[in-house]
Amino acid sequence: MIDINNLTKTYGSTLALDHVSFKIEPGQIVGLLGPNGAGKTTLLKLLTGYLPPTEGSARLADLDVTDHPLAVRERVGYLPETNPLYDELSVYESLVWTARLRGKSQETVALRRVIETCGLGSVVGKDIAELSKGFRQRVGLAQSILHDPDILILDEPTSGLDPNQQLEVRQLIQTLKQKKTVILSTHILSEAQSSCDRVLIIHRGKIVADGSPDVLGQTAARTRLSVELKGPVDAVEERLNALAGVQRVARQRGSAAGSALFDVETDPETDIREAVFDVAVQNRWPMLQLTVEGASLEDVFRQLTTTS
Amino acid sequence: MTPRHPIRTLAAKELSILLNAPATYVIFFLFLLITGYLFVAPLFSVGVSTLDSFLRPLPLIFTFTIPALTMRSFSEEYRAGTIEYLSTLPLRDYEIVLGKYVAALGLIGALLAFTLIYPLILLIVGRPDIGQLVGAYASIIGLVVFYAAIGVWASSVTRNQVVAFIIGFFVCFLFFLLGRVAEMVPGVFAAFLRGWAVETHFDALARGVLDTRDLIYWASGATFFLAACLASLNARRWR
Repeated sequence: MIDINNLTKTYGSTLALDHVSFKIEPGQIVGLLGPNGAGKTTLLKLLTGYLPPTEGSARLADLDVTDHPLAVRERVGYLPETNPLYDELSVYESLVWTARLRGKSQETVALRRVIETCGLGSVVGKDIAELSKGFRQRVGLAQSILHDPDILILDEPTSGLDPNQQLEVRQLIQTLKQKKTVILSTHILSEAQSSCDRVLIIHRGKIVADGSPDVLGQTAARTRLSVELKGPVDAVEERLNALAGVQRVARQRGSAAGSALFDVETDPETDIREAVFDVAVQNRWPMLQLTVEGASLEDVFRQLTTTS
Repeated sequence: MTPRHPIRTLAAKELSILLNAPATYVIFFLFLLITGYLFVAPLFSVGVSTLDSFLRPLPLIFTFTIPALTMRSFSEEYRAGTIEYLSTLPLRDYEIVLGKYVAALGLIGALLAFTLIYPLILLIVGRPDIGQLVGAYASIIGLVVFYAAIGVWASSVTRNQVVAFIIGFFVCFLFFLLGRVAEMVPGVFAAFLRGWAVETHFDALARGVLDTRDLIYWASGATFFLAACLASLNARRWR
């Protein structure tokens, strides 16, 4: 469905995307993760044909984006990062002109469908300038799915939304999952973990990890434990740091009076649970909590995107 | 699926936005106030029924009126980021440019419709030459077609509407000024400058003289600036 081959983009002397290659099968929701400036938006702009590549090729629905830009745009729905909308138009006007430009033969049916899917019924007569950010995002999404595209490209679809609005947009994306291939960029890791079948982590214009969120989590080079012992904080920290295999001990807030709560990171081969228990017994520090947090996508993300 | 009538659809959307903008009505009001005064003043003071007093200053009045009406065409799309959405719809760049241009012509057409009251008054109070009235409006249309293309182009080179207005005004004013400069330079050079000046072609048609050179001047001028607009739109993607 999407086939990217050695895609490269430079802005003057700045290399924004560096020979990126990957394939996406139909029906997948793929999350593009990366810190700000990693090249996520550039990649999506290349996929929509908004920007021409410096090198390499992108094929969407078996069509080369550079050679058949119009045919590709007919099959793609795109929500840009800033969700640009015409504030002067009403929601209805905005959807109508998009439908007309998209050449929808059954304009009314398509409008009714997206208004219902995106929950826009209550604001359809309002000017876009009057809408909350959540509703604006829904209008942007409605515009992008109006023509029932095979491929949906969403650039940070939940950016700037409150947690409730984020959940609504995620649920909306999930409803589209059955019928469409979705590629969405985000730097909200929980969003990628909960919404995506597959995650691509991009850093400095390169794909540095590719896999399902769970599999990627297992590749983390650390395991994390949450340890709470009732004892002197400094002494507990010192003893935990001295255990074999421990890479980092971080003091946490929220522990009860007289106890110390720590995040302990170890290398994945070492299981320190018994050693922690021994420390507690030897020092007569009652153990209040010992939880294995496991490695998460966040760990992988941090490892891969904080290296120089 | 190919979009149906993309230029018409884009132009309709653009017109709807322009007609919702208060600035449009301020410009309409000022234009009609100025031209209304210019038309009425000689009619009452000298008792002459002619369109000349309205017609003569138009090339100068339009140098700021038309760029003011077209300044938001592309600049606002750049500023608001909607150009990205527009450019990822199944539209060709020339369709976007023509959609904007047709909308600008439609808006200026609406403004000109109000000025039809001037020849109407002349028909009531006197016996004006109908051929000359038609020629006058034909020359106004020529001027509008040319200046509107300059205005739309100017808005395509910057994301700032005020800068777009200033660029549009200066280019329009330059074409206006060439006629005046021609009066101050010798022979051959003067003829060359007059050939480029808007007033030369405006006056000829306004007198009721239909010359294909004038039509070619308006059409080629408009085509040149629309092509420049297309190039400017395209160039933004390669930066």
